[in-house]
Amino acid sequence: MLILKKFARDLPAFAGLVIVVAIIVVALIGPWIAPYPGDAAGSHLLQRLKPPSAAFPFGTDNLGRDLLSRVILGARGALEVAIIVVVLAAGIGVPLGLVAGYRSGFVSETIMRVTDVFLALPQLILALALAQLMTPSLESAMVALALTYWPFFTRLVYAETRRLQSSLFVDALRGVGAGDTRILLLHILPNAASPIIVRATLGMGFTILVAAVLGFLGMGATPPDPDWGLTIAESRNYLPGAWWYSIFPGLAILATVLGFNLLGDGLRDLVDPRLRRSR
Amino acid sequence: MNAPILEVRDLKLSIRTDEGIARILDHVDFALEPGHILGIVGESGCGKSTVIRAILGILPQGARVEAGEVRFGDTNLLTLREPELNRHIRGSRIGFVPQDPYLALNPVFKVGAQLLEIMRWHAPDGGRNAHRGRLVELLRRVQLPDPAAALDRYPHQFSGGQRQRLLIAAALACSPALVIADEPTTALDVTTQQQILELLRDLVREFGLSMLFVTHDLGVVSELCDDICVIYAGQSVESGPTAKVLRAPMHPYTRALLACHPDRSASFVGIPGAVPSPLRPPPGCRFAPRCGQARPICGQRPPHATRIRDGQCVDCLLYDMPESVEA
Repeated sequence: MLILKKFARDLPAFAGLVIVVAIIVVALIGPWIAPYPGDAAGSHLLQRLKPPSAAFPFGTDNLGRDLLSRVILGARGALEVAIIVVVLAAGIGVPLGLVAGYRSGFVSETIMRVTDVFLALPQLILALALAQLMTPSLESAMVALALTYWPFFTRLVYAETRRLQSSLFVDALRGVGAGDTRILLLHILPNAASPIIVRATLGMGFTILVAAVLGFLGMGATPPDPDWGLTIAESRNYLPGAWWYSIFPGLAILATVLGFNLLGDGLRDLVDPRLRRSR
Repeated sequence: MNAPILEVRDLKLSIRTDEGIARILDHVDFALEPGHILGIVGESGCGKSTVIRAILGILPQGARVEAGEVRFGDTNLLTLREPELNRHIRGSRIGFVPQDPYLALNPVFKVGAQLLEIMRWHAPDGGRNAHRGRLVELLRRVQLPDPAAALDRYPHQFSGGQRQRLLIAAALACSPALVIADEPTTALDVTTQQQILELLRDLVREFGLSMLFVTHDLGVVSELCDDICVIYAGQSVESGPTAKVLRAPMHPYTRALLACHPDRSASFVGIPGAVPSPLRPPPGCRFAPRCGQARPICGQRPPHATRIRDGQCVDCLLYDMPESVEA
């Protein structure tokens, strides 16, 4: 419980936690708290591009839809994308890292060189290229993001496994007759869990950002989805007059990414005292 | 002399490294009699730990046993395959006490879970409660305070001595016939060291075990071990009953080593020169370049074991000549 106290004293991390929890809650109950839940799809052309007012706190878009409702409804999609992408990427990256780290040799070298190739290219560019190869949809955007994010997990788990497999307790386990699978899954993986969790948390924020970029470029979500990136893309034609049209979805992205990053950084500080800032 | 429970014969082992092939072990011979404690002594880097790893088959990657035999009872362990070793030898018939108790337990699990895991995979049919009961009994026997509560604590909540007791209990958990201990007291302070040694001696007697005890400390050997085997640069140079070898060392290296021991010499004496690199070992006796009594032939031809008397055995060409045996 000491660790919780320590975490609560870390203000930025705590703020991150609050933001993340708030967004998760909004994503879960979005359809019930949005003032106009029907605005995910419908249109009301008579009220188009209204500035923020009491009836529409965030204003309305080019089809007269309430932006507050669309920002709220967009949270679920953003989180879904982030979770699916991170789970997929970890599902690919973690086992590969374990295998590559535990044994050296041809298989390990192959895995790590492929990882290096992926890491050598900027993730965004690679994801754009992959998404472009498939039909533009949210699914292909997620696949593209997962296929470009797994190397980060592989690298991390590889380094952890390398460190742990030469540690004495693994030696001791082998000495009392533990097989390789047992050592890897039951002993090394739990030891590597905390950096994996940190990386996954940071990855959530990053994925939301990149997914928004893909949506913005027309390679992710398709209209009329209340996707944040897509909404910003649609708003470009109405700038600078309808400033609210791009500002509010933008702020939503900013807050979410910031929240996940603060939380991730805070978790990393907790997990790895060597990096802990003195304060 | 009874049939030995463990016999290592002419073990040769090399490790492939970036700089070439390191000949880590070159004819290591010793035999452990049932009920005895055999001390393997040598400087750091002489290959003591590698011998143990070769016996258990947990060698690092790139290591290869080139020749020799490791007879445990009537099986040659070197011919067994990994699954057989895991199922029937490691942990079940040979217990292993690793070197540094601070690092030898998985830090993220409670110790009870770790020890029970070992028992469960070696004896899956015994019930969970039976295992737990037996483990608590064992922890009480190794004098761990409050054994029942200890199972629910994490490794970092124990002191070094307590952790070593836990590891000893882990080694004994599946009633092995042989326990291999790799410098189990080196990381501990002197008083704890003393208690652990006494505990080990009592356990060997009580459980009818045999023990292979690796250390660099001649004091520990003289106190604990019935027999001794001295290793230098991957070659066993002298073996025999501890009292005899320490009182009347035959091999020049054993003599030099004993002279280095601060208890025995008034002034600090070292051995001139340095341990040869296993990448380019001297062709004959590996100690020859540092040996005061070396003759030209020592640098050309490897020595072989010469039995002296009463089980004392020395690998040195000095004793190969009939006229020098009396010396």
